[in-house]
Amino acid sequence: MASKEPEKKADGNRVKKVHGNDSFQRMNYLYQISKHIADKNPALSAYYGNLIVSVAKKNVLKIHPDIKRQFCKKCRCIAIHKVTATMKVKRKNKSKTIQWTCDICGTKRNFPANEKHDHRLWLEKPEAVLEVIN
Amino acid sequence: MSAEETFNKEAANAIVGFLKSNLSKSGQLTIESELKKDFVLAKKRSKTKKKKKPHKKRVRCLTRQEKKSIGFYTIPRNGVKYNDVLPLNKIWLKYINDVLELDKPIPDRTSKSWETFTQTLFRADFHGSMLNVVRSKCPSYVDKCGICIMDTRNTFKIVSQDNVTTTIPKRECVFEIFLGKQKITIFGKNLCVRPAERSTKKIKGHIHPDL
Repeated sequence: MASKEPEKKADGNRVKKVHGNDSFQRMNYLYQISKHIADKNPALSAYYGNLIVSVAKKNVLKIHPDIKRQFCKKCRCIAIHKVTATMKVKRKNKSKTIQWTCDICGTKRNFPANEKHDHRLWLEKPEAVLEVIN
Repeated sequence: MSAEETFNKEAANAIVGFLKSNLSKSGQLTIESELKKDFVLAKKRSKTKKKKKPHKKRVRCLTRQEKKSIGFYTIPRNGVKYNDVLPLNKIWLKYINDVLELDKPIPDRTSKSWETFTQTLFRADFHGSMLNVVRSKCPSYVDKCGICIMDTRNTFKIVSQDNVTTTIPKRECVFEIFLGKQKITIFGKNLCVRPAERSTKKIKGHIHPDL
């Protein structure tokens, strides 16, 4: 659930701290409540989603793609299958894509999902991890 | 058509006459040939027309009007149920415990860590917190209690136990926030910042309240 911590090089004896930790915690919390309230009040969910993006913008932090992709691009409401969005697997030119359709604003979003290709993101690959901070 | 042709001929004759009367003698000989000259690139055009790329529609954020039409800004008075937002309060308590490290004792006012404590409290999120209005310039707001669901620059929106959503101006009120066992009193005047900007702003350690 938590947003991934960015790796930071710390020197010697200094206590290692993640840059912008309290903002990451805040974004994490907002993500949770956005997910909680989505089925009862999608407008509020979109409001919290909007806030996540603006907090990240203000603090110049990156949102982890897994979390970023769960929000609708247009209205920033969280996408949950059969609650606020519908998911379909589509076939186009022999390659499969996952299509998410937001029920609130009607925006469609495609993600590639082909078995033959490696669609892993850079962050999911083992060489992306430089340092682990607890 | 004929009228136009005669008009063109008249005009051409007039121009030739004008040039003859005004040019020097050496120029007059070449008037006819000069006037029939072609410019090399005048009539030629490149055959291949530039193909316009199909303009891809960019997904933009909703405009304010579209948001308004969907109903993002108007939360009706009885729209939000208290039981729906109660889980938010539970998550918030865990979150604020993590951020403020409440299992340790709250630092003293004179100690060094007081500064960081107030800073983190100021930067924390208040959505989902249990608020109670202690004092206010407007007496009808006093003793309103509920869970905050929206936090704008100048107002809090809270849902009280009888499912009524009320908007409370921050500036004139003094709030009490319940953190499990502890209570924190905050002057709303100091919170008058947009919630997203608050996380980057700094606040003074000691602010003297108005009398």
